[in-house]
Amino acid sequence: MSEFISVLVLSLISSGISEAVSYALVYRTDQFQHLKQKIIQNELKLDEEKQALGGSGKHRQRRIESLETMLSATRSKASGLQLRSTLVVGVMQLLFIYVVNSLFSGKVVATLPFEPLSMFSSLIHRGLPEDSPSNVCSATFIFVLGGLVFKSMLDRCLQLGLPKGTSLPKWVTNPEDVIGGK
Amino acid sequence: MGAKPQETTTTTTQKLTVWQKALSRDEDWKKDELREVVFWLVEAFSAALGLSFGILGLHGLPCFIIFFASVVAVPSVYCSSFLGIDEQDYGGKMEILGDSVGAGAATFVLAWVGLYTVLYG
Repeated sequence: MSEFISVLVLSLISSGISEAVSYALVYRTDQFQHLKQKIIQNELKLDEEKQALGGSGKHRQRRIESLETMLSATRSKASGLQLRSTLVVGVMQLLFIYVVNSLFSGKVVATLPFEPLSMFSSLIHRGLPEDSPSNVCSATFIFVLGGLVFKSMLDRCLQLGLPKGTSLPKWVTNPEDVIGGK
Repeated sequence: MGAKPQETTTTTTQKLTVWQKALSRDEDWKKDELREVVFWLVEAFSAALGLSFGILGLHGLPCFIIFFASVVAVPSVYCSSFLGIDEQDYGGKMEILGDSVGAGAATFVLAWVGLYTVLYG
């Protein structure tokens, strides 16, 4: 159990360092802050337009489409800026995973209460001996899961990055609109 | 005797914080606020479910099925029955859940695996 907690702590530290690097490289720059403010303002305008009751349908629809296009373009620019930090953070995460593998190589960190799918077994059993039972897992799997959790939580708590917006494509959130050809 | 100056009472609508709204019914919500509350609700629920399964020693695929069914149902029931909002006004169920399900799944697995390892590993 102590190894399980150690891996989680390492995961938290790596997520914190990644967020700090992203802040240093991207989030604190004037350009990013300007784009972020623009996105927030455009999203507010878009919400107001969508909820507005008056006005003719066609004009309102055109204004909504124009705002959505502007929003999309601004998000693309901001995502382009974020690319810098994404590359650096990606390399850092690989280094962290290498360190975790070295520290916990050959050690079973947890017992799984389920049989893992074969496509995940290389991640789950990374660094473990070949003859390990199928329901044990290595530090790498716990580290990756911890990274997913802590990254999301830090994102939500610190709110340094872009507003979430529509994170899913339209065919997922509103399939009836796409199928209906609206 | 001079008349007392009329006391004007102005009723000011106190702006509630997101968390105060989360415990109240029939409030006005912005999409970002709703997604924030739903995210933390999903995280708390996933951790609680994972810890429960770990304590009870449950294992296997049915646990994942229960998790994925409930992680969609619980926020939906909370939003419609307690908050009294229509999910379609905010773009639908998946729009509100957003990236909560992925983080929630990771939290669930970590809590479940961690406690199961301690008690039955």
